[in-house]
Amino acid sequence: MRDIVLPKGGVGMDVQLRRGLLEVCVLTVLCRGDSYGYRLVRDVSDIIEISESTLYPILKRLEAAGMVSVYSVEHNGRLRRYYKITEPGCRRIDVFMGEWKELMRVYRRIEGEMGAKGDA
Amino acid sequence: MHKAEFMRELGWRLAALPMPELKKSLEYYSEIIDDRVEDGMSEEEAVRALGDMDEIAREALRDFVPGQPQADPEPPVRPEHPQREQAEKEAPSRKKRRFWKPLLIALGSPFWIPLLMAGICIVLALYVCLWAAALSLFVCGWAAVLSFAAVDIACLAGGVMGVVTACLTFPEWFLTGLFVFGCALAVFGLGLFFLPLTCRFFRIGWKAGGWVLRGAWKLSALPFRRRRRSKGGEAR
Repeated sequence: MRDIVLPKGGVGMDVQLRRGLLEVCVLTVLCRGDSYGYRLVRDVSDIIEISESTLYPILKRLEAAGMVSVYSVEHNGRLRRYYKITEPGCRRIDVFMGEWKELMRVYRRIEGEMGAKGDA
Repeated sequence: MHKAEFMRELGWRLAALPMPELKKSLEYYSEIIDDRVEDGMSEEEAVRALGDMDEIAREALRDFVPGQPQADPEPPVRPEHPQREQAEKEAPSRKKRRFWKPLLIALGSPFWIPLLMAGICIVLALYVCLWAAALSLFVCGWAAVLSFAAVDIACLAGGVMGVVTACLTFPEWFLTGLFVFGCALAVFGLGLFFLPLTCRFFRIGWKAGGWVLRGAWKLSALPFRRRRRSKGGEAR
């Protein structure tokens, strides 16, 4: 079952598609270095719109899938949870890139066809 | 909304989650609020920036299937710090709620223990009354039946004895003997007349006695049977 989700001011997108995209975006940000919740939300928001509440289940799923590991570090008298990408996580990004290379190829073909017909 | 209020509300909404999951969700949002406050926001602004509570709860409950193995419940800590206990105290823990109930019950015991005992005594007294009434009814009924039967048998026996006496008296005192004979016959006749009634009384007494005893038994068992029914059973 696929429903179209309309984020605030965003374009309608398939829910599964969007979640998959968000996962890869999070993983990509984590490739730069380990990060924690608040900073992740800010960094991923640069690439795609995301909120704290949306990020949480994604982190949960990545952790459950073994693509991300978690550890706690003391900071100003409280504990901060840091997320770290794992080897399966890096492979996931590669798989995504591969899938979408093909997707982009098809997209350009369709773009070309539609452009030729006068639809912009 | 202040942070504590937000954490309380969130903890209540996510109560369906198992403890490790609930803890992780609360820690996640607590950390984000703290980070925002560190950046310069006020607590209320930080909470508001998190967005709609409904959405937060929905996303935190997403993918939760009771019984399925979740992600590692305890991530490694480096390094261990006592502040962790404080974070645990802030989150509304279900263990705390379970702790208060037995404490309140123990504190209130001087009040409710005597009341409970009084209640038990009243219930026992009611049972005693019920069975006293049932048994006395039973005994009285049978006493009546048996006395009637006794009188009837006496009449019959008396009649027979009277006839025998009359036969003995006849040779000496004819008229007396005749009188006694007549009386004996009358009494015997009376006894015979009421014999079917006596038998009937016996049968009635047997049925009524059983009915009284069974009724008392059903009334005694009534409070126990009501508990087995679902809520909304018949009223007494």
